[in-house]
Amino acid sequence: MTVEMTWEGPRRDRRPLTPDRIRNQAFPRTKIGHRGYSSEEVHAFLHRVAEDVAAGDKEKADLRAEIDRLKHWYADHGVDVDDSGTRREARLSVDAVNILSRAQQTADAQIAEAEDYARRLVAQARHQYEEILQEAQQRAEEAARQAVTVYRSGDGVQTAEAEELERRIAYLRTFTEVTQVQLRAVLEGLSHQVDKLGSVPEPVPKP
Amino acid sequence: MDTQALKESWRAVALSGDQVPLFFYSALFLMHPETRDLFPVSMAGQRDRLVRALGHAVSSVDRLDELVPFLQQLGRDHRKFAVVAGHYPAVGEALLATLAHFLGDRWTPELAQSWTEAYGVISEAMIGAATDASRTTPPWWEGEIIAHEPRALGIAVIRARLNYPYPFRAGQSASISLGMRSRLWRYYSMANAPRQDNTVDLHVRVVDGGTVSTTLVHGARVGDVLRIGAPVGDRLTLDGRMPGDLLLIAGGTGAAPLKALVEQVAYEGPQRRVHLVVGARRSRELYDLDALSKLEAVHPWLTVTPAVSHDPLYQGDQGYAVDVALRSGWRGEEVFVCGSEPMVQASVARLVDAGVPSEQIHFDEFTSDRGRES
Repeated sequence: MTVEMTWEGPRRDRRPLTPDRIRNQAFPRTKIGHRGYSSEEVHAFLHRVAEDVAAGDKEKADLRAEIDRLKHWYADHGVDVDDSGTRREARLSVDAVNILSRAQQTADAQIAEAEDYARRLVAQARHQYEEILQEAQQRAEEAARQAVTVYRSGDGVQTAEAEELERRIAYLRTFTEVTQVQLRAVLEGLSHQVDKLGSVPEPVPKP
Repeated sequence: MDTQALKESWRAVALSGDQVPLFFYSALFLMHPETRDLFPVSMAGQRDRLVRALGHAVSSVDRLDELVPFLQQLGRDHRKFAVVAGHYPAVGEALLATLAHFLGDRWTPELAQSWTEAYGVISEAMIGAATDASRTTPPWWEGEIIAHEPRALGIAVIRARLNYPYPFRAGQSASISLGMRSRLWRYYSMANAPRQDNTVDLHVRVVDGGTVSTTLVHGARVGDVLRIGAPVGDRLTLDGRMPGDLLLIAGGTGAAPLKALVEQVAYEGPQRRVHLVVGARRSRELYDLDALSKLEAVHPWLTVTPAVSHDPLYQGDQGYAVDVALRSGWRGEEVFVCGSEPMVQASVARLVDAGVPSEQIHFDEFTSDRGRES
């Protein structure tokens, strides 16, 4: 190499960040009541930074390939820029390596995006599910209270057991009604998404 | 072999970060296209692992007594990825080409010689250990799913029958991979003590966006075949030096290895009292309570206590599993904790506060349902 590089770089004890480590960096949560950044915003930003780091890596790889090409040109024209003279007999094309690396990085980024999308989708679905159940529970409690009021205002002999029974029947009826309708809608949406997740194509077998 | 030159040159190369393994794998796949199928589609995590393992090997290259056991374990582990002795020279060739490319002028014949020797040591240790292991165990076991029960939203209990005898101890885990995603592996604990019929139970919870767990819970069917690596881990196993009573604290699917311990006590003894506290956020996530209650009914020495932390309408014990377990006080039992990472950390801290000596608290770092794999 014509450019002089020192053996020890400035940050010898620090491993450089990779796009994958940036994308998967986790931060500790602040205590409840303390202010903090929105985790979705931080997450989106990390993905952006990972993209830029990958782009920087690509540029450096291009430069190394350029150096390699120039060296080959000089070598082919009778100038040996490598004083060591230890070039491997079978020349590995740095350009071919870089093309393959670029394809791999594109695949990595696409898969990371898809996994991130799946993560958010499932988290959302779970949140929705919790909300539906909570709403159903609240409405069922309300219906049960009303049933008891109606029962008490009615005629005939009233017992505590019968009152409790009325309360439970009303609770369960409302709870099932509310959850049945909503969960069915969610399940349909979810199973559709899950089918899509499960059908990632296998690599084409070699001929 | 000039170990100082090895270390210095590795340090210089490692400064280029992700570009180094990126170049290495591209060179490997170009020179030996048949090796591409050994790896998953996404290589992002794989690159970090390669650099970590190589960095570790290089930094301890002058302490072979420490390095060799690490390499032997690595070699045995690689059998499940279908790596055979023939792959090692290919990797060596790609490694030397990568180093030559990044070091430029500084790649001298002497340095090349040192690296060739160092890689010889690495591959010999790995191949040797893999060959030894192949005399006694298969590279992986195949487990046909014979039961697949969804128990709660995103939780399934899976039973698989293995094709060869599978010698493991209650509390151990194994890395598991699916036919559908055959190059991705995740750790799961066996939820049972070894059985005559060679079956194992797995408790799987969907990790949001996790491909293996999602496929295991939603995609896997009876008849599908899992690949199962050799059993690992000794942090959650019982040994003869622990004859006393047991307090088992589980969060979510962390109940799996602890249920295995209960079965071991039932099958093998010795006689002791066992208290299992299974924690969940909501009562509907207590996915294995029926089976645990049956065990409790048969064994007078066993107490099972469900604990629910985020469900105000729940009738039973409210609170985190560790708090419910400590409500009646600690009576000198050996304590085992398993669950998600935050659950284990918080529980262990709470136990220490309550005066349980740390040598009597047992927990594992990777039997929870998270897990990027080596």
